[in-house]
Amino acid sequence: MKSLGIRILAAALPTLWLLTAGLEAQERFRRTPPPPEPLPALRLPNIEQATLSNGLKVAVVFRDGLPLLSLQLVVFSGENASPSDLPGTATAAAHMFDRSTLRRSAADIEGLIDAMGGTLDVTVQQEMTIISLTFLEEHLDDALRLVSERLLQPVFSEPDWIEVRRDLSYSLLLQEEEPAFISRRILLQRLYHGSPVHEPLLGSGHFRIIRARDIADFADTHYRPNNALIVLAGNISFRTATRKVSHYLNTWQPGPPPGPSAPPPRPNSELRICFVDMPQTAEATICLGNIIPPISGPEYFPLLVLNQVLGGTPHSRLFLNLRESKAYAYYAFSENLFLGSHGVFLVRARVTPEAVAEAVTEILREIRRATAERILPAEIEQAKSYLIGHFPLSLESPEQLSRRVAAIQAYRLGSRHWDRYLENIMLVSAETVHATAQKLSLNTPLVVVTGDRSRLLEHLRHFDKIEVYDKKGELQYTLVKER
Amino acid sequence: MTAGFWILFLGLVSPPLRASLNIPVSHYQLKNGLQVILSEDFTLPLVGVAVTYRTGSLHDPPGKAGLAYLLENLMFLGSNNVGQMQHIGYITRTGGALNAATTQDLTFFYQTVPSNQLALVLWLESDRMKSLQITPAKVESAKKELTAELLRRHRESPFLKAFFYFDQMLFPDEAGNRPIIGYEENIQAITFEDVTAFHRRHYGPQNAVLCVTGSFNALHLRELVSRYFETIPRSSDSRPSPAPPVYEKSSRTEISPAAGIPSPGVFLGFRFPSARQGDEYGLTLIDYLLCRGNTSRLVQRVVKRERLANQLSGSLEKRGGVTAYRMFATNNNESLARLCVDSIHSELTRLRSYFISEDELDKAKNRWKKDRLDRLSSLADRALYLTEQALDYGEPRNPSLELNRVMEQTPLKIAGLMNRYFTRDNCLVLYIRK
Repeated sequence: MKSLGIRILAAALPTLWLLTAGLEAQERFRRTPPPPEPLPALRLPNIEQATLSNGLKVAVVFRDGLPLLSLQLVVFSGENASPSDLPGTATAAAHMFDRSTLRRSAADIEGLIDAMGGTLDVTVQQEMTIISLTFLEEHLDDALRLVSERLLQPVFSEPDWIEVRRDLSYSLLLQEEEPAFISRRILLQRLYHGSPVHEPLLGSGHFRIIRARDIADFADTHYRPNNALIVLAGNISFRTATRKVSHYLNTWQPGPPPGPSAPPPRPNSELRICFVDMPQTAEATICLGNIIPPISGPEYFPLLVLNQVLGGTPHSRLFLNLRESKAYAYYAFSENLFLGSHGVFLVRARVTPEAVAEAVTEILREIRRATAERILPAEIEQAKSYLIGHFPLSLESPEQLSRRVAAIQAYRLGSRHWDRYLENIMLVSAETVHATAQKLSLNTPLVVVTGDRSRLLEHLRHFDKIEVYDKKGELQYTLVKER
Repeated sequence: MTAGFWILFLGLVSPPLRASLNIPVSHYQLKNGLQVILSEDFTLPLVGVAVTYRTGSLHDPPGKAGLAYLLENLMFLGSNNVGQMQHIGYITRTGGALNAATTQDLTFFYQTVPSNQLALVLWLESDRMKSLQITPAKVESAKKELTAELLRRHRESPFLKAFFYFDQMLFPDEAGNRPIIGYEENIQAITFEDVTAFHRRHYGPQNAVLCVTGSFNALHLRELVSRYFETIPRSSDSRPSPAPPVYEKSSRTEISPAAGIPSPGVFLGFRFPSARQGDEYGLTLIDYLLCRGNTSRLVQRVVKRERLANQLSGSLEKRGGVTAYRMFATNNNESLARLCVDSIHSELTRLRSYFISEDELDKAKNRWKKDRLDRLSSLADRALYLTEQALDYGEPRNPSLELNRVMEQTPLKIAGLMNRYFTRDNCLVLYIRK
């Protein structure tokens, strides 16, 4: 029996070996990540364009799929165009977009937007206003009728304005409780100080002195077809879109040619530390940055890559250093805000109060390292790979697509910017990033720290000078280190 | 019989116009029990991948609230072949985006990546499904993070404590009202053994759904799924969800003081103890009719016209087998809060007494449809949606089906639901005093 048993075992061994070896071989693939397949081609839809006889530009981008359409109305006037004694007028005008017309009350307009399954969003930047309307595709006529009535037959009544002002002020009051909002607002205010550029993150008090008549005057001057653009994205042909836009908007009267845009603000030239007291705030919020070139400049693509290396994602240097390595921060990211006349590079982080000074120092050190030292090609390639891979994610919904196209058209970037977007990223090298960084003032940012003074100021003592502001941006006093 | 009669007759019985969305859906199951759902869309060279485990805070053991959420966090702390936080690094490097979420009964992990990285995502998800590395040190670190997050959330959301208190009124059984993020003392009480037992019980392939949406070749995808998931063994003792409690209609009013809130507020809740199959479509529309959008009944009345509330929101909530509707309003003072509740009841009485117009119902339907289409625009959200449908109805369904069910709702059905559920004797109220 024993020998038979051994024989059976001996006979079974090769089979057993084959089985286990097979399993091991089968599982070997788990040890390393699979290589990517070839990069899939991204076929971007064409942007088709026309200009109506009244000067209104129309851009259409077709995408088959879900029955949604997205419309962007861009008016090339933003907060910079608000009268200097009435900041916030551009914002007020934009937020009146769903109010009364000669034909309908504000309630009727809200009802019309709901009936088309619509959502209306308003964005007011420094240089432009964007009214974004996304709706079910069968309601294209309703959407254009609404836009047309609001542009051609608007009513700016005081009761409507009072209601809009109430909503605006309430939402701003809530935002003003957010240290991140306050830090960003003070940063832009200080960077734009002395220039004709106006920061768009207004305070809740700004709207008190604006009257409905001021808003009407603003709209009458700026909401003109030769100062505007309409983008439509979704399952719609160029022919249908232009025919319908023309039908509803060809009687919109042009105004005088728009004036020159505001010159860019000058970059901050030496490190400045500003502090905003927000009592009872548990953490410290840091927002620092400086002026960079505009979106149309040759620095655009290298700056995208530089930002990616420094703080674009949780895998970038700032996050890995301040959160993962040093445990100073809950988050730490950087970003570029690109506009027509200039851009703003900024870093935002929320950190523990005890580590606020170290966190600021580390952020400055990381900026210096990314700009003064040449970034390794492998890190550059990783950043490019992210940007290339992420680009289609930013075009998933019709609204995302139309917003992207609206930016390209509004900043007059041309079809090459769209068609060759990925190619331009691929062309960025460690050298171009280094050369770009050398030209800019990224190492002398304006730093805004927001938090509870009683917990933070002692930690900030080692900075030579600290300007202390209130939440509205008024300078309260300056602390200077004793020598 | 005249043709006119037949036209009239057909007109009366013909169903409403049926919508059709071009979203193909197919599914199959592996031998180890993993459900796989596929939905192709070649608009962009992207794929959305969601892995959903049928577990959530309802499965937290008593006194260990926060355990399901803790495990969600541990899923990013490394497996046999993927180091700590490397999952995030791998996805981020492709340009992709990822996230995870825990609800009362589900835990989702989802990502969108360029379509040439599909194998990478399946490799990552299968590795943590097969060989998650849980160590005492990782558990302690995750507990620390979770406690810090809990404290931060309480600091940032002054109404959170009141929200949790109202949960206890709305969902009286302990499992239904325990917060997903847990309680500080409960988090501290979680042990390494609790975590490994929970993982063994709930994180096997037989308790999971893999859904892939976007640009892929179905045959190739099946090969990849087979390669990465087929050999993952079932986990040892997967248990079914606890049976949902049975609630009766009840009404109650309480007052709770809360520190640090910017203004007084009030919660109202209605439970749906005997909801029938199909009621969910009408209830979804009631949510839109009452609280969603500027023209919804209650926003129009209590926020815009009577100005009794600064803001008002509503949400339909499902916890295990129990569904309820929650409203929340903030008010300038306590008297206004009481008037606000009276006004809400008055509007609900109107909705119970009179049929709403077809126009008003169509508005609600269109707003819901737009929101649903927005969700389906994102491949990751679409994957989550298809998974939820599969878990709710036993198999994945084309979104057109839900769309048509909602579009079929009539003023009569809405009035029926209003009368059955939105009554004073089924209303729970919590005033939050400053």
